Amino acid sequence: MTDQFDARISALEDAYAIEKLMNLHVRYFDSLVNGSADGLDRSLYVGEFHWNCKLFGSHDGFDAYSRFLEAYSRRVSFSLQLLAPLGIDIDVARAGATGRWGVWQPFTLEGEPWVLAGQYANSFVREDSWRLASVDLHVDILTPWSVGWGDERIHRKWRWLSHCT
Amino acid sequence: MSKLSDRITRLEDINNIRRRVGDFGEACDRGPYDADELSEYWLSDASFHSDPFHYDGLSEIRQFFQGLAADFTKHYFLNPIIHVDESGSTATAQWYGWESPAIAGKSLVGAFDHTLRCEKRQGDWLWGKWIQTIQFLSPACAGWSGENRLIEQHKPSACTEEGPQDD
Repeated sequence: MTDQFDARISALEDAYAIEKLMNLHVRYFDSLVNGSADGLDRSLYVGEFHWNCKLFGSHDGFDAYSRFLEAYSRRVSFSLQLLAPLGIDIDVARAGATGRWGVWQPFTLEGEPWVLAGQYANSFVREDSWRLASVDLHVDILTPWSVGWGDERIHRKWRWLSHCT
Repeated sequence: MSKLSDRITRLEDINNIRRRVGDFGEACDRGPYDADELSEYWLSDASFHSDPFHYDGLSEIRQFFQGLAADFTKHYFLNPIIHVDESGSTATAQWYGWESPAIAGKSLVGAFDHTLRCEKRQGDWLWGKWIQTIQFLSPACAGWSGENRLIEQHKPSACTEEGPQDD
């Protein structure tokens, strides 16, 4: 009986730890862009961390992710990612997990207000603590705020990859 | 103090309700508003209230979803406050809602306040009574003051103030 309780409590603790990790990841990302943090907390990530988005490129390894974020910060002067949790699944062995979040992100791109809306589908691994292994961002809306998403949800002038890769 | 197993079950139920509401938001975005899929979340005698409209029973709720005009939606359920009753079979949940639909080529943003009464049936949480307050549903580019505070979200003639029309 005690083992059964322990497993159920561990599952709740794991889910909370992963939610907190995701919130910290996003907070570091935004803080770096907004100039209120000097760097990332490497301990949140596995060394072979992978960040991927069809519209922002694919970045393999923590160092590549750091370089992407530096390039991002040169063009984006403000970012605030609001997250809506959509579910966390922890594998039976408690070695890995996946989690999904809806994201609503007002941001300022080269002085112009933009908005991104989409979903994160991430993976996590448990080493001494839970760490972020991969981030996959699916984008539904990416457009200047003044233009909106009524006619075109990914604005035709979006050209991130040609600038940053 | 409740038994340890009951306390754990209550925390698991809170997580399950959070997830179920998130799933419901994603289901709203598919289609959007696929009435068949959305019907699976409601009890047959459920009610849905969104001032000034009121819908009683699954049939009227289905008609409400079928009558919505959005051609694109993104739903976000935020700031959850969930209370599972002592029985463990009923719960009340409150959420802020944030939406960014497109209706007739217009980009809109909406802020909502949701209060949901739900029941656990065979392990799944189902909606029994949902009260929605629309704080604003406004053109995104123009902001939400003055006459932009609330934009019509129903197809013409889809509903009356008493509820959906029969035909």
